[in-house]
Amino acid sequence: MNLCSLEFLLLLLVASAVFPWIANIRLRQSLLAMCNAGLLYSFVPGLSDGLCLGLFVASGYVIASLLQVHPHRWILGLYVTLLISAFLVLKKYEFLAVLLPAPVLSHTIGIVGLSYMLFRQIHVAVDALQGQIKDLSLWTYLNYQLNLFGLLAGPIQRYQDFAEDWNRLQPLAADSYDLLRAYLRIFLGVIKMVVVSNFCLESYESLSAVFVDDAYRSTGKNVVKFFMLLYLYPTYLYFNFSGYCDIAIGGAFLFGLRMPENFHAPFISRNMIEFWSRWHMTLGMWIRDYVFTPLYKTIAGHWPDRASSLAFLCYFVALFLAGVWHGATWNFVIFGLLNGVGVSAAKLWETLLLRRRGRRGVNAYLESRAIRALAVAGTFHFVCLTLFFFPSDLRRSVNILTNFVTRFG
Amino acid sequence: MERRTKDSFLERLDSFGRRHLWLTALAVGALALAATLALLSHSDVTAVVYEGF
Repeated sequence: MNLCSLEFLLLLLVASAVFPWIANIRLRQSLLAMCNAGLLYSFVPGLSDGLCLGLFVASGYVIASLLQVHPHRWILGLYVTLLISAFLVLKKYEFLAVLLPAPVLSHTIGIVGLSYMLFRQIHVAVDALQGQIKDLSLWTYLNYQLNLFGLLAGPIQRYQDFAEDWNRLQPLAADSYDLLRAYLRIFLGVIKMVVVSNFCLESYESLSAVFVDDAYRSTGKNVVKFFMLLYLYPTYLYFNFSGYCDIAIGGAFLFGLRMPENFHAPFISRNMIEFWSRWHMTLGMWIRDYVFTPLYKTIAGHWPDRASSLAFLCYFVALFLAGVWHGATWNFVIFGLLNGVGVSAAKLWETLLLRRRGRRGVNAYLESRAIRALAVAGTFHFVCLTLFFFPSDLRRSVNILTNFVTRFG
Repeated sequence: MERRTKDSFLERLDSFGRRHLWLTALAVGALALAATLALLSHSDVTAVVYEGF
């Protein structure tokens, strides 16, 4: 069942109307748990998929419990390695074809929400090792991992935040306005997904067909159409994903769960580092907390004198991995590389400015409206370029770019 | 993974909506109708692109 469907909306409205009238917290939790199980059931195609899903989720709880009692880094290291290996095989990453025998990658197992579960598993395991999770319970953990509002595409929530809401699960609306605002957000999300995002996708599809066509080279199509094409896919992605998040966040609110925000005007970012703190924010924060910071700390520990100048390398690795996580095909490697280059270039530029102009000069630079406008426009176009490689048909993306460069280059 | 504070614009919109509750209710009704019509007329709704399969 899709979150953006009439059936889901009707069930959501009925369940959210019943929810505040249930006096007992256990019964409220049970109602939500049943909804979680119901949605999950609609997405699990067979027994083997269900078993794999169960193993994947259960391993996180077992290891986190173990790490609470025996906080050894090697246990965490071993678990994360195994978990990521299982993830890569289950998702059938294309580059594995050169490393592994074909039968390993010919399986038909599909686990719903696997990519987001991976993030939550690693977060819980790391936080358990660091002693940041005090009360890990199986009931809370299962509902955290299988929460219908974050199952398919996030937002990636911290276990501690979920547990805080889950343990006192009660209506969050203080008055009728809060309630109306949640419904407003849900319906707005549906319109963003169904009307705006669909329109952008259809326009992108029809326009890209023109650019793929070889006849394009000989005709006088204008540059404006190419730029429309360049802008359409990011616009489609933004409305699609942010609309989905609106439904998820608004829906969760009706059941007493506060999901984190995922978007904050991403297209006005002045560099790629800022972009990743505004676009898919929970992913950006996860990458910062569990990839960038540990990597930077390790480098700073080994080479303290070079730490600040090597920060750009950490940015590159972190965002490259974030890009590759998005999908198992080669186009996401390019997407990851471009993002890695973008964020490390932003960090290098910042370092260079600081050296040349000093703190006061950098402040003047940051306050300049003209520079801000240029930076925002430049970042926006770079983002559009990275997202040009987001559709899985890499040949098509390359074809469009090649045809455009050949015609106007 | 912290929660971001709201914009001043959203805060102003919030206080406006709170003061004129009937307008907010009207907007919810209109959007509910529009969303239902949109879902009924689009059988081919695209799934969320970021869906984590």
